[in-house]
Amino acid sequence: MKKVRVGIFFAVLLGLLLFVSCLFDPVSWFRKGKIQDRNQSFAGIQAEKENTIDVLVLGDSEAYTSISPLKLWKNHGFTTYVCGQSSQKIQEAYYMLKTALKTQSPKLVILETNMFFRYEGLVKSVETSLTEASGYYIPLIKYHNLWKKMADGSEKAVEDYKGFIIRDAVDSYEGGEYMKETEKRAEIPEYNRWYINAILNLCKENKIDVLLYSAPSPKNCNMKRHNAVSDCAEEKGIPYLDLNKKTAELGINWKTDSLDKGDHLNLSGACKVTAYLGNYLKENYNLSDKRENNEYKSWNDLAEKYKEKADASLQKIQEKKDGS
Amino acid sequence: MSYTVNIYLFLFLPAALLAYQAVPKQKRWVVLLGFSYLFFFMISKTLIVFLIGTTIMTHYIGVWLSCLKQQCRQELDQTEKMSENRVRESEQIDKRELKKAIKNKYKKRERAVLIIGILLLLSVLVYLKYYNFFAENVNLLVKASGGEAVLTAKKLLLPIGISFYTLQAIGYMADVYWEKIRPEMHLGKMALFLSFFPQIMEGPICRYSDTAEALWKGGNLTGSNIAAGYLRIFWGLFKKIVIADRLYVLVTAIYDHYENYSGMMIAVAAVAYTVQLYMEFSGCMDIVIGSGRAFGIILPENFRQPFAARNAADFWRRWHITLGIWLKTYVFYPVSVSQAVKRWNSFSRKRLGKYAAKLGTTALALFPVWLINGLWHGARWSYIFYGMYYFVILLAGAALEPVREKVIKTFHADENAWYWRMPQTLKTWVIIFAGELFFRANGLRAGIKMFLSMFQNFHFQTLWDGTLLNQGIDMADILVICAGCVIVGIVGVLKERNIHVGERIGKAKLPVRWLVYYSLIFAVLIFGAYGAGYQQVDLIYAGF
Amino acid sequence: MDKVMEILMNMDDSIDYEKEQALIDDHILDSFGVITLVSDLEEAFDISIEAGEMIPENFNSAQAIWNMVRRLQENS
Repeated sequence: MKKVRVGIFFAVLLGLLLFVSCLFDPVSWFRKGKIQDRNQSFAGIQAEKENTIDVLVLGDSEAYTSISPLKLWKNHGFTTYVCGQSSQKIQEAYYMLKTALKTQSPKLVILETNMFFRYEGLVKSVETSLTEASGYYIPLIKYHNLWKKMADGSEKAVEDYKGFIIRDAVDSYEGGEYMKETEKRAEIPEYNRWYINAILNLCKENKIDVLLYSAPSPKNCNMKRHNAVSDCAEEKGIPYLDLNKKTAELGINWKTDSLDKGDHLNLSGACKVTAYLGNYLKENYNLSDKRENNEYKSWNDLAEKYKEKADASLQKIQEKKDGS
Repeated sequence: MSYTVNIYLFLFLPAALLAYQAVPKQKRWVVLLGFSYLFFFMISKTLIVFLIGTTIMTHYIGVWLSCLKQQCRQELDQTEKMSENRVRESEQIDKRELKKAIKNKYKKRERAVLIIGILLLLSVLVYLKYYNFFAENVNLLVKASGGEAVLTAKKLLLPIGISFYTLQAIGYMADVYWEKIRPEMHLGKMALFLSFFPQIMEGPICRYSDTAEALWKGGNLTGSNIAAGYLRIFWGLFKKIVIADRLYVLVTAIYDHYENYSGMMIAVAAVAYTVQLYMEFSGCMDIVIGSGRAFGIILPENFRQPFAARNAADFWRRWHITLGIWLKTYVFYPVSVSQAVKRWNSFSRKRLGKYAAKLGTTALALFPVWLINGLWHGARWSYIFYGMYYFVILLAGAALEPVREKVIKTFHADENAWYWRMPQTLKTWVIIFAGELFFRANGLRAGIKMFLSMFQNFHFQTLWDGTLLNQGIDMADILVICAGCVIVGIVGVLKERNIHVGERIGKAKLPVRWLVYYSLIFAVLIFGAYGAGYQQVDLIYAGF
Repeated sequence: MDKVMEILMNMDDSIDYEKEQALIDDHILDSFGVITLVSDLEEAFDISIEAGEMIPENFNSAQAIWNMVRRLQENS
């Protein structure tokens, strides 16, 4: 009898949690421009029309400052969404993917590798796992702070370039060559490996290709990390594209393309990366061109807006370059 | 790991409860000890050797004291037997003298053992906690007299809870010495008493007679205990996550850039920090006591509606109660009955009169209490100032006592009437808020500057002209904070009138009970300052 | 016993010490009061009260105080 009562208590609790969660629907709040924190891309990907995204990018700031979906669209006509978060943790990436797969069926997942090495110790990692899992199953926990916005009726236009963020500051990197040959390997923590596997399995179940990808970043990348990720890619039989080894080919100029002394790329750098990546993806994956498809008209419209903004920003970067 | 995170509340604690229930009664203490050491290890890693060292030492001193007491008794018995055959009067007197000598001899030895024990424990604490402070100030002194720095700062890591378990260990040794309790022979039981995981980080500082037996007993879990425990835990989370963590933003904004503020904003910061500290510390205590309760273990309360205090002394009987009791038992009374104080007392009574004698004795006994209270919080001048602040206020309170009584008698004032209580409470609040201002300020100098700047540019309109709303919190935050404080206030007022809301809920009809549970859970989940857009705030007292 | 009463009345004559059973627990006697009382008792009965005796049970009523005093007298 007592056990039944406890069971009922928790069943009712769960029901209430899920019911109240409905009041905190991220999609509508995202469209009103009210989600601008860590949850933005969680909500953003859910706000995309069903089954329209071809390429999904998971990663931290290295991802959303280097890959521009609207430029990829403009050049090649496939759809990309960058599900990035600043200092994204691998647990977040995992639940981000799960969230995206609820409504999307991408052909390819690009996994930025910087987060493979982000580890805060076992206790904090387990804590993050718990938080992310509970936020995934009970959206109320993730979006609870929206209660503040409920009283506020104003709406803001969302400026979402499919997860990409335009950055036009310039702060050069002057450290020279950073991918020095070595046989040493950085360590990918066991805890993170477990999640990498989980992400790969999830993709396999859904017949999604995976590409490991490292954005150029002298501050975060080195040969030790490259070797570790290469080993991992080899072991899993998936390709690894490390653009840190191709900076010459990309034409990266560390004087003008760096946002903050070699940590991130600015828009100028992102354009070069995106141009290369676009060709690479087009060559290696079967991604159809949808630019003429009427259902994707909104992408064309957004791409125009984006181009205007991006051109202005590129101009600014150019001026800074000439000025110095 | 701290008590307010998911991993503790929904993984560690339930796992400990399950494991506890799964093993037979006699072995349950092992489970508690295992989880306690795991908890400690997860936070402080190898520094656990300090805890183990303290445990062994405390245990050993206890055993040693017990041996001495045993020997003393044996020797007394022998004297008794030897004198049984003799009946002459003079020898009887002789026997009494002999017994007295034996007692004194052992008393001295026991005292030496106790002092060794206390000194050893204190030296570890003092070295780890105060060495750098000491070195810094010695260097300043040396430099002031033209020399070079002599002591280098060291990177010393403090084991979690050392300030708390060291006090428990000292209390235990003193209690054995005074024969208030029997010494513990079982090392495991001692280890559990010192390390019990819910209280290791922030107290309450328990006395051996309070908790050791309950921890050892291994009683069965009951549904009502677990329900009551988790209700208390969620109540604590409400205070911590909904109120304290929301205030944290405002408090840090002003205290960390105090130069930019003056007048009303400083006053707001002082009040906000006091409320934050209370909600956080007492909220954490709710979680701690709730965790204990889930196991059926009653831990001592640390707070009793401190803002209902009539004066500063009363405040300290209601705020961090276990620290106050510890200081009273192991510092205040021992000092006040020490030879030096007694000598002063008999001297001053003859020469200076009763009033001065009482005041002098009070000052002598109070000074170490408040010096230790200040220093215990950490090696900073502002903490020492904080201690001295209360020393002066309490002493002034004692000095003015005759005046107060006279006023009451002359005007036939009723101490319980509102016209007396209101100003009294307000005065106490001002004392509390000002004290916490110095306590929180980034250094003593900052504290003094903040205090003085409170009296400049004092404008009430900063409350609503946007200055307040520019400190990282908005109107919605303020509303939640106020609503939260009202709820906590109502529960406090009821408790003051001897109505225990928590117990009432436990006995209420099922729909009422469940409604309360659900409301509390949703209040925490929705209005809590956690997740995206918030920073996780570390427990304040865990740093002491 | 009368002597104890006298000392107590000396400190505060508004309390009914015959009946009061919780001098400490009800905060009628605060810690300052206790240390004054202790020094008075020590003087009056020529005993030495240790810090270990400073527990509420020994001071909660006039009877308890008297019991403690007698015990200490016998032991010395």
